[in-house]
Amino acid sequence: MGKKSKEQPVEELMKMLKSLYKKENIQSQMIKKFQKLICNDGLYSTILNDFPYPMVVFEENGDLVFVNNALSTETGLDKVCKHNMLNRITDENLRILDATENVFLGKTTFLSGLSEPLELFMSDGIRGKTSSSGYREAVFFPISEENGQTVLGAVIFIK
Amino acid sequence: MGYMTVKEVGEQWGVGARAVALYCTEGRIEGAVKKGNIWLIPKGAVKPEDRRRKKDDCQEHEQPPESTGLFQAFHNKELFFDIVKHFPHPMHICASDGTMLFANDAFYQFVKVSQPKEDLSKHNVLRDPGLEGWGIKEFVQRAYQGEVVNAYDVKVPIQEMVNKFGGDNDMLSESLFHNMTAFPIYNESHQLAYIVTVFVISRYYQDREEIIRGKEYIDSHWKEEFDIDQLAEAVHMSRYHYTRLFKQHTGMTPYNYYQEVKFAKFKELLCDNSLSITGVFDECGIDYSGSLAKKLKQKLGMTPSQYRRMKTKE
Repeated sequence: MGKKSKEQPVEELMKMLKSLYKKENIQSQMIKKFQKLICNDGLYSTILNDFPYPMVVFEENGDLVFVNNALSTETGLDKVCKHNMLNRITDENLRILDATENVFLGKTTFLSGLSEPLELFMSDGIRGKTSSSGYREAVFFPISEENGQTVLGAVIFIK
Repeated sequence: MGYMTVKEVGEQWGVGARAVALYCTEGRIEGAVKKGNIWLIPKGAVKPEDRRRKKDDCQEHEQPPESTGLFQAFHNKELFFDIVKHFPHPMHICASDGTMLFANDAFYQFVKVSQPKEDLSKHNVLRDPGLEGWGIKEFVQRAYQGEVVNAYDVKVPIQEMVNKFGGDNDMLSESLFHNMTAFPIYNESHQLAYIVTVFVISRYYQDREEIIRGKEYIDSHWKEEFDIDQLAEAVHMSRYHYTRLFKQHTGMTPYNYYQEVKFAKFKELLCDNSLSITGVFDECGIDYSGSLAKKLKQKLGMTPSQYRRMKTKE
Protein backbone atom coordinates (compact mmCIF):
# COMPACT_ATOMS: atom_id res chain seq x y z
CA MET A 1 0.00 0.00 0.00
CA GLY A 2 2.70 2.43 1.10
CA LYS A 3 4.91 1.43 -1.82
CA LYS A 4 2.04 2.01 -4.23
CA SER A 5 1.31 5.51 -2.97
CA LYS A 6 4.97 6.46 -3.37
CA GLU A 7 5.14 5.12 -6.91
CA GLN A 8 1.84 6.63 -8.01
CA PRO A 9 3.05 10.25 -8.39
CA VAL A 10 6.17 9.11 -10.24
CA GLU A 11 4.05 7.12 -12.68
CA GLU A 12 1.73 10.06 -13.18
CA LEU A 13 4.70 12.34 -13.82
CA MET A 14 6.10 9.86 -16.33
CA LYS A 15 2.71 9.73 -18.08
CA MET A 16 2.57 13.50 -18.19
CA LEU A 17 6.10 13.74 -19.57
CA LYS A 18 5.29 11.13 -22.19
CA SER A 19 2.17 13.00 -23.15
CA LEU A 20 4.12 16.29 -23.37
CA TYR A 21 6.82 14.61 -25.43
CA LYS A 22 4.13 13.12 -27.63
CA LYS A 23 2.47 16.53 -28.01
CA GLU A 24 5.77 18.18 -28.87
CA ASN A 25 6.57 15.34 -31.22
CA ILE A 26 3.21 15.72 -32.93
CA GLN A 27 3.74 19.46 -33.22
CA SER A 28 7.21 18.95 -34.70
CA GLN A 29 5.85 16.42 -37.16
CA MET A 30 3.00 18.75 -38.02
CA ILE A 31 5.44 21.60 -38.64
CA LYS A 32 7.62 19.36 -40.83
CA LYS A 33 4.57 18.36 -42.83
CA PHE A 34 3.54 21.95 -43.28
CA GLN A 35 7.05 22.94 -44.28
CA LYS A 36 7.08 20.17 -46.84
CA LEU A 37 3.64 21.04 -48.08
CA ILE A 38 4.47 24.70 -48.51
CA CYS A 39 7.71 23.89 -50.31
CA ASN A 40 6.27 21.18 -52.53
CA ASP A 41 2.76 22.24 -53.33
CA GLY A 42 3.03 25.97 -53.27
CA LEU A 43 1.20 28.35 -51.02
CA TYR A 44 -2.24 27.96 -52.40
CA SER A 45 -2.62 24.35 -51.53
CA THR A 46 -6.18 23.38 -50.71
CA ILE A 47 -5.04 21.69 -47.52
CA LEU A 48 -3.45 24.84 -46.19
CA ASN A 49 -6.40 26.90 -47.24
CA ASP A 50 -8.89 24.63 -45.55
CA PHE A 51 -6.81 23.90 -42.47
CA PRO A 52 -9.19 24.65 -39.56
CA TYR A 53 -6.75 26.74 -37.56
CA PRO A 54 -5.81 30.28 -38.58
CA MET A 55 -2.52 30.36 -40.40
CA VAL A 56 -0.40 32.88 -42.28
CA VAL A 57 2.87 32.80 -44.17
CA PHE A 58 5.01 35.92 -44.00
CA GLU A 59 8.18 37.51 -45.29
CA GLU A 60 11.05 38.73 -43.13
CA ASN A 61 9.72 42.30 -43.09
CA GLY A 62 6.38 41.05 -41.75
CA ASP A 63 4.43 41.34 -45.01
CA LEU A 64 1.91 38.52 -45.41
CA VAL A 65 2.17 36.35 -48.50
CA PHE A 66 -0.52 33.82 -47.59
CA VAL A 67 -3.60 33.86 -45.37
CA ASN A 68 -5.76 30.77 -44.98
CA ASN A 69 -9.56 30.70 -44.89
CA ALA A 70 -9.78 30.22 -41.12
CA LEU A 71 -7.74 33.35 -40.42
CA SER A 72 -9.59 35.34 -43.01
CA THR A 73 -12.93 34.36 -41.46
CA GLU A 74 -11.81 35.10 -37.92
CA THR A 75 -10.32 38.50 -38.65
CA GLY A 76 -12.13 39.70 -41.75
CA LEU A 77 -8.76 40.23 -43.42
CA ASP A 78 -9.00 40.42 -47.17
CA LYS A 79 -6.78 37.71 -48.61
CA VAL A 80 -5.51 39.86 -51.43
CA CYS A 81 -4.94 42.95 -49.29
CA LYS A 82 -1.41 44.00 -48.37
CA HIS A 83 -0.92 43.62 -44.64
CA ASN A 84 2.07 43.63 -42.33
CA MET A 85 1.83 41.43 -39.26
CA LEU A 86 4.20 43.68 -37.32
CA ASN A 87 1.76 46.59 -37.61
CA ARG A 88 -0.11 45.94 -34.43
CA ILE A 89 2.39 44.56 -31.99
CA THR A 90 1.11 45.51 -28.55
CA ASP A 91 2.77 45.57 -25.15
CA GLU A 92 0.93 42.36 -24.26
CA ASN A 93 2.08 40.55 -27.41
CA LEU A 94 5.62 41.83 -27.73
CA ARG A 95 6.87 38.20 -27.69
CA ILE A 96 5.40 37.82 -31.17
CA LEU A 97 8.01 40.29 -32.45
CA ASP A 98 10.84 38.08 -31.18
CA ALA A 99 9.19 34.89 -32.41
CA THR A 100 8.72 36.38 -35.89
CA GLU A 101 12.31 37.54 -36.06
CA ASN A 102 13.63 34.24 -34.72
CA VAL A 103 11.91 32.37 -37.55
CA PHE A 104 14.42 33.93 -39.92
CA LEU A 105 17.24 32.71 -37.73
CA GLY A 106 15.86 29.23 -38.37
CA LYS A 107 14.16 28.88 -34.97
CA THR A 108 10.72 27.47 -34.14
CA THR A 109 8.92 29.14 -31.23
CA PHE A 110 5.85 28.07 -29.29
CA LEU A 111 4.01 30.87 -27.54
CA SER A 112 1.21 30.44 -25.06
CA GLY A 113 -0.88 32.84 -22.99
CA LEU A 114 -1.15 35.33 -25.83
CA SER A 115 -3.69 38.12 -25.64
CA GLU A 116 -5.94 38.37 -28.70
CA PRO A 117 -3.13 37.57 -31.17
CA LEU A 118 -5.51 37.61 -34.14
CA GLU A 119 -5.86 41.36 -33.70
CA LEU A 120 -2.51 41.54 -35.47
CA PHE A 121 -4.38 40.84 -38.67
CA MET A 122 -7.24 43.24 -38.27
CA SER A 123 -7.65 46.65 -39.80
CA ASP A 124 -9.40 49.50 -38.02
CA GLY A 125 -12.51 49.26 -40.13
CA ILE A 126 -12.69 45.48 -40.27
CA ARG A 127 -15.77 43.80 -38.88
CA GLY A 128 -14.45 40.29 -38.21
CA LYS A 129 -15.28 38.22 -35.18
CA THR A 130 -12.85 40.53 -33.37
CA SER A 131 -11.78 39.82 -29.84
CA SER A 132 -12.31 36.86 -27.54
CA SER A 133 -11.99 34.29 -30.29
CA GLY A 134 -10.09 32.13 -27.82
CA TYR A 135 -6.77 31.76 -29.63
CA ARG A 136 -4.05 31.96 -27.00
CA GLU A 137 -1.24 29.84 -28.46
CA ALA A 138 0.84 30.10 -31.58
CA VAL A 139 3.62 28.20 -33.24
CA PHE A 140 6.05 30.13 -35.40
CA PHE A 141 8.26 28.10 -37.73
CA PRO A 142 10.65 28.67 -40.62
CA ILE A 143 10.11 27.56 -44.18
CA SER A 144 13.46 26.84 -45.74
CA GLU A 145 14.70 26.23 -49.22
CA GLU A 146 16.68 23.12 -50.12
CA ASN A 147 19.93 24.90 -49.29
CA GLY A 148 18.63 25.43 -45.75
CA GLN A 149 18.09 29.17 -46.13
CA THR A 150 14.90 30.43 -44.50
CA VAL A 151 12.90 32.31 -47.06
CA LEU A 152 9.52 32.57 -45.35
CA GLY A 153 8.00 32.17 -41.93
CA ALA A 154 4.65 30.71 -40.94
CA VAL A 155 2.48 30.87 -37.88
CA ILE A 156 -0.47 28.74 -36.82
CA PHE A 157 -2.74 29.90 -34.03
CA ILE A 158 -4.18 27.34 -31.68
CA LYS A 159 -6.92 27.56 -29.10
CA MET B 1 31.74 114.29 -25.88
CA GLY B 2 31.24 111.49 -23.33
CA TYR B 3 28.95 108.59 -24.03
CA MET B 4 26.95 106.19 -21.89
CA THR B 5 25.62 102.69 -22.58
CA VAL B 6 21.91 101.92 -22.72
CA LYS B 7 22.20 100.16 -19.37
CA GLU B 8 23.74 103.21 -17.69
CA VAL B 9 21.19 105.52 -19.25
CA GLY B 10 18.36 103.19 -18.25
CA GLU B 11 19.53 103.27 -14.64
CA GLN B 12 19.77 107.03 -14.74
CA TRP B 13 16.30 107.48 -16.22
CA GLY B 14 14.70 104.72 -14.20
CA VAL B 15 13.65 102.68 -17.24
CA GLY B 16 14.73 99.30 -18.62
CA ALA B 17 17.70 98.97 -20.97
CA ARG B 18 15.39 97.59 -23.64
CA ALA B 19 13.20 100.70 -23.50
CA VAL B 20 16.31 102.86 -23.99
CA ALA B 21 17.41 100.68 -26.92
CA LEU B 22 13.97 101.11 -28.42
CA TYR B 23 14.16 104.91 -28.03
CA CYS B 24 17.50 104.76 -29.86
CA THR B 25 16.06 102.65 -32.69
CA GLU B 26 13.18 105.08 -33.02
CA GLY B 27 15.60 108.04 -33.17
CA ARG B 28 14.09 109.65 -30.12
CA ILE B 29 17.41 110.30 -28.37
CA GLU B 30 19.38 113.12 -29.89
CA GLY B 31 23.01 112.31 -30.65
CA ALA B 32 22.70 108.56 -29.99
CA VAL B 33 25.07 106.62 -32.26
CA LYS B 34 25.47 102.96 -33.01
CA LYS B 35 28.92 101.33 -32.91
CA GLY B 36 28.69 97.77 -34.07
CA ASN B 37 25.88 96.30 -32.04
CA ILE B 38 26.07 98.85 -29.23
CA TRP B 39 24.21 102.10 -28.87
CA LEU B 40 26.18 104.99 -27.41
CA ILE B 41 24.19 107.81 -25.87
CA PRO B 42 25.66 111.24 -25.19
CA LYS B 43 25.99 112.12 -21.53
CA GLY B 44 23.28 114.59 -20.65
CA ALA B 45 20.89 113.33 -23.36
CA VAL B 46 17.29 114.18 -22.63
CA LYS B 47 14.90 111.39 -21.79
CA PRO B 48 12.19 111.23 -24.46
CA GLU B 49 8.78 112.38 -23.41
CA ASP B 50 6.70 109.84 -21.55
CA ARG B 51 3.68 109.38 -23.75
CA ARG B 52 1.55 107.76 -21.09
CA ARG B 53 -1.68 109.61 -20.45
CA LYS B 54 -1.93 111.17 -17.06
CA LYS B 55 -4.89 110.42 -14.83
CA ASP B 56 -5.91 114.10 -14.82
CA ASP B 57 -5.90 114.22 -18.64
CA CYS B 58 -8.31 111.34 -18.70
CA GLN B 59 -10.66 113.15 -16.39
CA GLU B 60 -10.49 116.35 -18.36
CA HIS B 61 -11.50 114.83 -21.67
CA GLU B 62 -14.05 112.25 -22.43
CA GLN B 63 -12.01 109.34 -23.78
CA PRO B 64 -13.11 107.07 -26.58
CA PRO B 65 -13.57 103.51 -25.32
CA GLU B 66 -10.48 102.19 -27.09
CA SER B 67 -8.16 104.45 -25.09
CA THR B 68 -9.00 102.78 -21.81
CA GLY B 69 -7.93 99.53 -20.20
CA LEU B 70 -5.77 97.04 -22.04
CA PHE B 71 -6.06 98.84 -25.36
CA GLN B 72 -4.36 101.84 -23.80
CA ALA B 73 -1.37 99.66 -23.01
CA PHE B 74 -0.67 99.39 -26.72
CA HIS B 75 -0.33 103.15 -26.93
CA ASN B 76 1.81 103.23 -23.84
CA LYS B 77 5.09 101.77 -24.97
CA GLU B 78 6.78 101.25 -21.62
CA LEU B 79 3.80 99.51 -20.11
CA PHE B 80 3.33 97.50 -23.27
CA PHE B 81 6.96 96.37 -23.32
CA ASP B 82 6.77 95.47 -19.63
CA ILE B 83 3.77 93.25 -20.33
CA VAL B 84 5.48 91.67 -23.29
CA LYS B 85 8.74 91.18 -21.38
CA HIS B 86 7.04 89.07 -18.73
CA PHE B 87 4.59 87.35 -21.05
CA PRO B 88 4.98 83.60 -20.44
CA HIS B 89 5.11 82.61 -24.12
CA PRO B 90 7.89 83.49 -26.57
CA MET B 91 7.10 86.71 -28.37
CA HIS B 92 8.95 89.13 -30.60
CA ILE B 93 8.19 92.53 -32.00
CA CYS B 94 9.38 93.71 -35.36
CA ALA B 95 9.17 96.97 -37.22
CA SER B 96 6.96 97.08 -40.29
CA ASP B 97 10.04 96.49 -42.50
CA GLY B 98 10.70 93.20 -40.70
CA THR B 99 13.56 94.40 -38.48
CA MET B 100 13.43 92.71 -35.14
CA LEU B 101 13.22 95.24 -32.34
CA PHE B 102 12.39 93.34 -29.25
CA ALA B 103 12.09 89.81 -27.89
CA ASN B 104 10.80 88.84 -24.49
CA ASP B 105 12.45 86.69 -21.83
CA ALA B 106 10.49 83.60 -22.86
CA PHE B 107 11.80 84.03 -26.43
CA TYR B 108 15.40 84.19 -25.23
CA GLN B 109 14.86 81.07 -23.14
CA PHE B 110 13.34 79.43 -26.19
CA VAL B 111 16.45 80.14 -28.31
CA LYS B 112 18.74 79.21 -25.38
CA VAL B 113 20.20 82.69 -25.02
CA SER B 114 21.18 83.41 -21.44
CA GLN B 115 22.28 87.02 -21.99
CA PRO B 116 19.56 88.90 -23.90
CA LYS B 117 20.85 91.04 -26.74
CA GLU B 118 20.30 94.75 -26.63
CA ASP B 119 20.31 95.04 -30.37
CA LEU B 120 18.35 92.63 -32.51
CA SER B 121 18.24 94.77 -35.63
CA LYS B 122 20.50 92.44 -37.62
CA HIS B 123 17.60 89.97 -37.65
CA ASN B 124 14.98 90.69 -40.26
CA VAL B 125 11.97 88.40 -40.38
CA LEU B 126 11.06 89.31 -43.95
CA ARG B 127 14.55 88.50 -45.19
CA ASP B 128 14.78 85.19 -43.37
CA PRO B 129 15.68 82.59 -46.03
CA GLY B 130 14.26 79.83 -43.83
CA LEU B 131 10.62 80.97 -44.03
CA GLU B 132 9.81 78.67 -46.91
CA GLY B 133 11.26 75.69 -45.07
CA TRP B 134 9.16 76.49 -42.02
CA GLY B 135 6.07 76.64 -44.20
CA ILE B 136 5.15 80.08 -42.82
CA LYS B 137 5.99 82.34 -45.75
CA GLU B 138 2.36 83.21 -46.38
CA PHE B 139 1.75 83.69 -42.66
CA VAL B 140 4.55 86.25 -42.50
CA GLN B 141 3.54 88.03 -45.70
CA ARG B 142 -0.05 88.43 -44.51
CA ALA B 143 1.09 89.58 -41.07
CA TYR B 144 3.24 92.31 -42.62
CA GLN B 145 0.28 93.50 -44.63
CA GLY B 146 -1.43 94.26 -41.33
CA GLU B 147 -3.60 91.16 -40.92
CA VAL B 148 -4.08 89.20 -37.73
CA VAL B 149 -2.95 85.71 -38.74
CA ASN B 150 -2.72 82.32 -37.08
CA ALA B 151 -0.67 79.29 -38.05
CA TYR B 152 -1.26 76.02 -36.32
CA ASP B 153 1.10 73.23 -35.34
CA VAL B 154 4.15 74.70 -37.07
CA LYS B 155 7.34 72.73 -36.56
CA VAL B 156 9.81 75.35 -35.45
CA PRO B 157 13.40 74.60 -36.49
CA ILE B 158 14.70 75.12 -33.00
CA GLN B 159 18.32 74.24 -33.74
CA GLU B 160 18.36 76.75 -36.61
CA MET B 161 16.92 79.46 -34.36
CA VAL B 162 19.36 78.73 -31.56
CA ASN B 163 22.23 79.04 -34.03
CA LYS B 164 20.79 82.24 -35.47
CA PHE B 165 20.42 83.98 -32.12
CA GLY B 166 23.74 82.72 -30.77
CA GLY B 167 22.27 80.49 -28.10
CA ASP B 168 23.86 77.53 -26.40
CA ASN B 169 25.05 75.55 -29.39
CA ASP B 170 24.83 72.02 -28.02
CA MET B 171 22.93 69.64 -30.27
CA LEU B 172 19.36 69.58 -29.04
CA SER B 173 17.40 66.41 -28.55
CA GLU B 174 14.06 68.12 -28.59
CA SER B 175 11.44 69.06 -31.09
CA LEU B 176 8.80 71.75 -30.85
CA PHE B 177 5.60 72.53 -32.65
CA HIS B 178 3.88 75.88 -32.12
CA ASN B 179 0.65 77.63 -32.78
CA MET B 180 1.72 81.07 -33.97
CA THR B 181 -0.24 84.29 -33.92
CA ALA B 182 0.88 87.56 -35.46
CA PHE B 183 -0.97 90.82 -35.00
CA PRO B 184 -0.29 94.40 -36.08
CA ILE B 185 0.06 97.53 -33.99
CA TYR B 186 -0.72 100.81 -35.66
CA ASN B 187 0.67 104.22 -34.71
CA GLU B 188 -1.32 107.39 -34.09
CA SER B 189 -1.42 108.06 -37.84
CA HIS B 190 -2.95 104.59 -38.36
CA GLN B 191 0.14 103.34 -40.12
CA LEU B 192 1.47 99.88 -39.50
CA ALA B 193 4.17 100.34 -36.85
CA TYR B 194 4.92 96.94 -35.34
CA ILE B 195 4.16 93.28 -35.83
CA VAL B 196 3.91 91.18 -32.71
CA THR B 197 4.41 87.43 -33.09
CA VAL B 198 3.52 85.03 -30.30
CA PHE B 199 4.51 81.35 -30.13
CA VAL B 200 2.41 78.96 -28.07
CA ILE B 201 3.67 75.40 -27.82
CA SER B 202 1.32 72.84 -29.31
CA ARG B 203 3.61 69.82 -29.14
CA TYR B 204 6.89 69.18 -27.38
CA TYR B 205 9.20 66.19 -27.61
CA GLN B 206 12.42 65.41 -25.83
CA ASP B 207 14.04 62.03 -26.34
CA ARG B 208 16.33 60.15 -28.66
CA GLU B 209 16.10 61.60 -32.14
CA GLU B 210 14.49 58.44 -33.59
CA ILE B 211 11.87 58.37 -30.86
CA ILE B 212 11.04 62.04 -31.40
CA ARG B 213 10.71 61.45 -35.13
CA GLY B 214 8.49 58.42 -34.58
CA LYS B 215 6.22 60.24 -32.14
CA GLU B 216 6.03 63.23 -34.45
CA TYR B 217 5.08 60.92 -37.29
CA ILE B 218 2.34 59.19 -35.29
CA ASP B 219 1.02 62.49 -33.89
CA SER B 220 0.80 63.90 -37.41
CA HIS B 221 -0.81 60.77 -38.92
CA TRP B 222 -3.10 59.68 -36.09
CA LYS B 223 -6.19 60.02 -38.30
CA GLU B 224 -4.89 57.45 -40.74
CA GLU B 225 -4.66 53.73 -40.16
CA PHE B 226 -1.42 52.75 -38.41
CA ASP B 227 1.27 51.63 -40.81
CA ILE B 228 4.53 50.24 -39.43
CA ASP B 229 6.09 50.35 -42.92
CA GLN B 230 5.72 54.10 -43.18
CA LEU B 231 6.83 54.63 -39.61
CA ALA B 232 9.95 52.50 -40.16
CA GLU B 233 10.65 54.51 -43.31
CA ALA B 234 10.27 57.80 -41.40
CA VAL B 235 12.84 56.76 -38.81
CA HIS B 236 15.10 54.74 -41.15
CA MET B 237 15.11 51.68 -38.92
CA SER B 238 13.95 48.10 -39.13
CA ARG B 239 10.46 47.36 -37.84
CA TYR B 240 11.84 44.93 -35.28
CA HIS B 241 14.53 47.18 -33.90
CA TYR B 242 12.36 50.28 -33.84
CA THR B 243 9.45 48.58 -32.07
CA ARG B 244 11.83 47.42 -29.33
CA LEU B 245 13.59 50.79 -29.10
CA PHE B 246 10.28 52.64 -28.89
CA LYS B 247 9.03 50.30 -26.17
CA GLN B 248 12.29 50.71 -24.26
CA HIS B 249 12.08 54.51 -24.32
CA THR B 250 8.36 55.11 -23.94
CA GLY B 251 7.16 51.99 -22.16
CA MET B 252 4.80 51.10 -25.00
CA THR B 253 4.94 49.80 -28.56
CA PRO B 254 4.38 52.26 -31.44
CA TYR B 255 0.93 50.76 -32.01
CA ASN B 256 -0.03 51.25 -28.36
CA TYR B 257 1.19 54.84 -28.59
CA TYR B 258 -0.90 55.36 -31.73
CA GLN B 259 -3.96 53.99 -29.89
CA GLU B 260 -3.31 56.34 -26.96
CA VAL B 261 -3.08 59.35 -29.27
CA LYS B 262 -6.24 58.33 -31.09
CA PHE B 263 -8.08 57.75 -27.84
CA ALA B 264 -7.04 61.16 -26.46
CA LYS B 265 -8.22 62.92 -29.65
CA PHE B 266 -11.42 60.92 -29.62
CA LYS B 267 -12.20 62.03 -26.06
CA GLU B 268 -11.26 65.61 -26.89
CA LEU B 269 -13.61 65.70 -29.87
CA LEU B 270 -16.44 64.10 -27.90
CA CYS B 271 -16.45 67.29 -25.82
CA ASP B 272 -17.18 69.31 -28.96
CA ASN B 273 -20.97 69.48 -28.96
CA SER B 274 -21.05 70.88 -32.48
CA LEU B 275 -20.13 67.40 -33.76
CA SER B 276 -22.49 64.44 -33.76
CA ILE B 277 -21.18 61.21 -32.25
CA THR B 278 -20.78 59.68 -35.69
CA GLY B 279 -19.13 62.93 -36.74
CA VAL B 280 -16.55 62.45 -33.98
CA PHE B 281 -15.81 58.95 -35.30
CA ASP B 282 -15.44 60.37 -38.81
CA GLU B 283 -13.16 63.18 -37.62
CA CYS B 284 -10.95 60.61 -35.90
CA GLY B 285 -10.86 58.38 -38.97
CA ILE B 286 -12.55 55.52 -37.11
CA ASP B 287 -15.19 53.23 -38.62
CA TYR B 288 -18.14 53.39 -36.21
CA SER B 289 -18.69 49.61 -36.37
CA GLY B 290 -15.08 48.55 -36.80
CA SER B 291 -12.71 46.78 -34.43
CA LEU B 292 -10.93 49.94 -33.30
CA ALA B 293 -14.23 51.64 -32.48
CA LYS B 294 -15.16 48.68 -30.32
CA LYS B 295 -11.86 48.90 -28.50
CA LEU B 296 -12.19 52.63 -27.90
CA LYS B 297 -15.70 52.21 -26.56
CA GLN B 298 -14.42 49.52 -24.18
CA LYS B 299 -11.60 51.78 -23.06
CA LEU B 300 -14.00 54.65 -22.48
CA GLY B 301 -15.94 52.46 -20.07
CA MET B 302 -19.23 53.90 -21.25
CA THR B 303 -20.95 54.82 -24.46
CA PRO B 304 -19.62 57.91 -26.27
CA SER B 305 -22.97 59.67 -25.63
CA GLN B 306 -22.72 58.95 -21.91
CA TYR B 307 -19.16 60.28 -21.90
CA ARG B 308 -20.30 63.46 -23.64
CA ARG B 309 -23.16 63.97 -21.17
CA MET B 310 -20.78 63.45 -18.25
CA LYS B 311 -18.31 65.98 -19.61
CA THR B 312 -21.05 68.51 -20.39
CA LYS B 313 -22.25 68.33 -16.77
CA GLU B 314 -18.70 68.98 -15.49
